[in-house]
Amino acid sequence: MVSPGTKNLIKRILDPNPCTRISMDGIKNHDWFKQAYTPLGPDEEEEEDCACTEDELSSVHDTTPEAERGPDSPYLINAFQLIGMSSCLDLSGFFENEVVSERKIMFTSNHCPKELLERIERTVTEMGFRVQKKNGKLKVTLELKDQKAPASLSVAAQVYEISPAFYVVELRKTCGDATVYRQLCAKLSNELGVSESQVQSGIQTGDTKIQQAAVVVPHD
Amino acid sequence: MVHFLDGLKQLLSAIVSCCDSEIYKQPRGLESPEALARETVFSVSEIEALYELFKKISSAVIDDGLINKEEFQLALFKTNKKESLFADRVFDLFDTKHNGILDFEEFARALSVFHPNAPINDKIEFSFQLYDLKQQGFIERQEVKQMVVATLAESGMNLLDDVIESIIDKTFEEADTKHDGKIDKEEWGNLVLRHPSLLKNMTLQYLKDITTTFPSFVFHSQVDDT
Repeated sequence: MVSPGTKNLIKRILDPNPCTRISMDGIKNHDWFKQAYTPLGPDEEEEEDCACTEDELSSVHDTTPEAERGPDSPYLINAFQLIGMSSCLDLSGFFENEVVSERKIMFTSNHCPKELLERIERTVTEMGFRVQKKNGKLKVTLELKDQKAPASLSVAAQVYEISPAFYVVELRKTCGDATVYRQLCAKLSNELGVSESQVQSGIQTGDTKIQQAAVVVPHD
Repeated sequence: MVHFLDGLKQLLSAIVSCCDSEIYKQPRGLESPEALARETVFSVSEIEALYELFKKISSAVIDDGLINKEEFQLALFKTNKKESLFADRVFDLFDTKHNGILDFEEFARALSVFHPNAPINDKIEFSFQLYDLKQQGFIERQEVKQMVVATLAESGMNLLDDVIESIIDKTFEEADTKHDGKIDKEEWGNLVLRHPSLLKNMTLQYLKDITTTFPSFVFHSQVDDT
């Protein structure tokens, strides 16, 4: 027996008149559809797709070094992995309407990965985001509870080690509002990135372990 | 009267040949998606969808059915003002005919390498050529340094020279198994097999869904779906 909710939704989908036919958003907002429905984030879709491809290709998305695995280990990267992160080598621009710098922000930090991930988690939770941890990466989602739409911002945070005292934090927006994303990035890079003043004092004292300025503040 | 008719005939044939040359001036549309589909990883519907993307990019500045460097940059970076050593290199690799312009065939063949289903050897080959800035058949230390500096600069990250040198030292230690100061194709292949994430930027998941992103094949397809 088909429930009334189902019948209603099916009827609206099969409406021969395209003007009154229900839209995708309408379907997602329909009461019947929303029961026990968890939206699949774009990141999860990507990982599922990877699992279906050949081993050699699915391992492309596995950035954990073979020697160390664990939720808190940094991703040690070499020069080519760093180069590969360049936005100029990212052809996703063909398919996205936003500029890469609106979707991916990187900054360097001297804090160790464990501390970075903990502090990012703390900061974003204070800002009202939800955090999921997986394979040393953080997935940060902002859900607007007062609206019926699913998460309005989803950001993946990942830390890479490029040298014993330098780490690169990559904040990649997988979907959602660009303004909120920029605010989040600005806050995190201000708190965790290496600041200009540290560079100045380093140079003046002739300290060999000079801390380099590397704060990227996303600008409008 | 005969002269008049002759003149009219000449006028008409001139008009017709003019129209013909209009057609031939523009590269023909999607001529044989099946042939391209056979030679790439794409299916026929994917080729047709890719063609829609191609048309969108190639009409941005000059609507001539070809992608010039400016349109290429506009499509990727949404600005034609970005000077980038990488952007030039990528364009050159797409431009297999070396005429400074991309036709659909070059576009489709190059993007085929980025499909999730493309053979890994194609990705290894493409990325090697990409990083071999001077096209000498090997990747030099100086080229790697240039690329690292460019990558850091574009994100506003600055690192001390000796930090950069130590990053490259470590990379070469691992990659340069023949210890000749350069990374050749074989060493590159081995490095990639040890670190598959090196090819992360050589795969565009978007290509898997291209028929849903550019669905005009539903209306224009000349081929039955199999």
